[in-house]
Amino acid sequence: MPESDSERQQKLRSILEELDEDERELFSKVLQAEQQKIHMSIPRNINDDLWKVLTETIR
Amino acid sequence: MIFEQMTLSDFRQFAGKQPIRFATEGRQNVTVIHGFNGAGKTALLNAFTWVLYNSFSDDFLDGEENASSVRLENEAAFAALEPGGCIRTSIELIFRDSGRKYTAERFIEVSKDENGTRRVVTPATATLLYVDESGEQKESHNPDETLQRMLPTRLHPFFFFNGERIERLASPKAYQEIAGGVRTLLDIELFKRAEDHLEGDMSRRLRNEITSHAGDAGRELEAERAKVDGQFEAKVKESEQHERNLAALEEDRERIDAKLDTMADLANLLTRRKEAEKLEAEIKNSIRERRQDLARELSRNGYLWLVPDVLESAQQTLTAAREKGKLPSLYRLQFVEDILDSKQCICGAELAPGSTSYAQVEGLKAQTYSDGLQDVVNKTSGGIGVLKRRVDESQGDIDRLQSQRDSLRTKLTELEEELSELSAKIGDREHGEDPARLENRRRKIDSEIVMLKEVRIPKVRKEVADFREELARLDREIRNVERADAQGQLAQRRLDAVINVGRALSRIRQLRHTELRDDLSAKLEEVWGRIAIKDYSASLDNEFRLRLTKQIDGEEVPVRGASTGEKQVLSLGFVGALGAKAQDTYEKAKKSPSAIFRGGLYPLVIDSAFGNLEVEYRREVARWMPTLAPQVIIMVSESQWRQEVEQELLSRIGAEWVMRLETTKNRSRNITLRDAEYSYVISSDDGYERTTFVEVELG
Repeated sequence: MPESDSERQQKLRSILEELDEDERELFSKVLQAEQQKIHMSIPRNINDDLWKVLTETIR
Repeated sequence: MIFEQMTLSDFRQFAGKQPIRFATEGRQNVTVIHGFNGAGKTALLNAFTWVLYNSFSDDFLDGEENASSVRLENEAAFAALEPGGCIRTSIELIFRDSGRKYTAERFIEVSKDENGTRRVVTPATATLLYVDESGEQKESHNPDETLQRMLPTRLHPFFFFNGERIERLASPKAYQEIAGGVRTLLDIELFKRAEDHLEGDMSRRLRNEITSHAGDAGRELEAERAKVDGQFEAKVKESEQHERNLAALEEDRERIDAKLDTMADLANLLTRRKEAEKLEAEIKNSIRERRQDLARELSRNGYLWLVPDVLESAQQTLTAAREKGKLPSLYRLQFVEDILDSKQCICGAELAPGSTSYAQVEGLKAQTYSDGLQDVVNKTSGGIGVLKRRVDESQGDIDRLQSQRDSLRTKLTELEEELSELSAKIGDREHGEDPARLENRRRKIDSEIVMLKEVRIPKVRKEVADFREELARLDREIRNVERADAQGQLAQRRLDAVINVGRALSRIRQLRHTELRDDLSAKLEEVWGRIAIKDYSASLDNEFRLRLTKQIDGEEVPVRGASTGEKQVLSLGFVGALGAKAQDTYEKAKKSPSAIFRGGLYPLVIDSAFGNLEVEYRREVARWMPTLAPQVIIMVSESQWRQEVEQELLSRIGAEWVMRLETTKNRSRNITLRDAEYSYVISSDDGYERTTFVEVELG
């Protein structure tokens, strides 16, 4: 029996709530950076993009 | 992405400028384009893939090895060109995506030199204009990349395809394509990449930074970690390669079985083999369970097997002490000490330190034990009996489990002999060369599968687990190394954040994986159940492989030899389920700005939409097709546009066109649509074929 949407949302929320504020921001910026290059089979310079995101978020 | 209009300019059969408008979302979301064979239905499908991806389907390439050597310009237009003149062939596509309106164009310029030879002046070039939030028109600096971002190339086979060939999605060869499509379209790939990048380069850089601020000890640890990490990565790759090899071998075996199944002579032997193989799998599973039970029992009570002498000697010691009257003690130490402290005996006499009576009471301390020791004596006395009983019970359990395992092993050996004998009979040349060759190949595959499943994969999995454990140990040590300065501490904080975010990504990806498998399977089953005639079940397995199964003796077994029509319906159902899930995710994300998954709106463009389907399937597919995607564009020949299809689709059509073909042969004919006649094929008066779009009045 597949889970309901609300059960899924609850599980998702509880995973994100385990992160502190900075980590949640990092989580969302990492996904944004990856999204920009998802169409590339080898995403050029993605590690530099992520490094920038990390150093700006966790100071 | 919703298409509004396309203009073809001197592109293949389409001479001059040929605009065509499409029905967009809403109830009337279907565009039907009618065309005679050769009118340009496949060329139109390729006009979409060219403008968006600069690529063509194999049937359009027609033997040309690469897209750049395909002649795209209209023949008549090129023939009419004066020497030195130039012709511009282009496709312009107007579409909407995420609230913005875009105009994409791809063009190529070709000239004719003095000798009449064709020269490419400008190779295929794309432009992309859009209207931004302020209403101003802007040009994308990197049109191909922007288009890729909206609908990645690897997804285009799911949304632009020929209905007569869509059944290939239900073949083992397409498993990876499908799994890749699901992962990309529904965000799993995004999460996986983020995890890999955080765990890989990010973590490496941070650990380097930490250890460079932690002196020699840190550097040594980092060097060791880098070495173990390299070994770990190599083993992970080896493990993945084994899994891929196993999947390929199992698919090969399935293909061989499907071929053998078609040979009537072998039916009886194959049935016996299927039963024996099923039993073999069950027995192997039971042996595995017994092995786990044994391991559990040994880990719980195994230590007792090593201590029976200790138990015996402890019991003898306690018995001897009791016999000598040392046990149990009459007084508690605390009790005697309390009396001495109060300086008064329980009989009321005074106990002055140094007095005889004080000395007598103090002498009782020698006959007492501490409370702790007393408790241990009590517990040990009671516990020895219990432990001795557990030894007996455990020995009994282990004997029973070992005997069950041995009996299963004997059965397995018998079955293996039976299977070997059956294989020899199936492969006997008296059934012909083909079965012998197929069975021989199957035997080799079987032995490779056993080697992978029972030796190589378990071995490499264990090695991966060992390296992972070693890495975790080194990470703990690195974490404990003194960091002298703030820079090192900051790097440690960043590494902690990267690890935590990586874990969250991994957990969410696993949730999403389960959600997609469940939802896509449910949708697929719903669509399949509505359309299919046979009592098969359609689903996606854990690896997103498209499966068609049937119930035999209460068990789901894969369907072998499904018809092309059935595979087409299954594939269409999958594409529909995929598009519907992407749309559902998109609609939910629109309502919640913090949504993690984005989804999207994806149109379906299908050439020969009802290809080889039987009448029953056509009606159902036609009824259900408009619900597959927010926008559906289908190209059909007259024979595919039959009564039942028209009846089902009529109320959902928002735009309808005829491709009027001018042919060099002297023949012409009309097509009747909505009680009106339209020219379908007419004679060309200049010796060149060309196609023109004619809009059908919807009334």
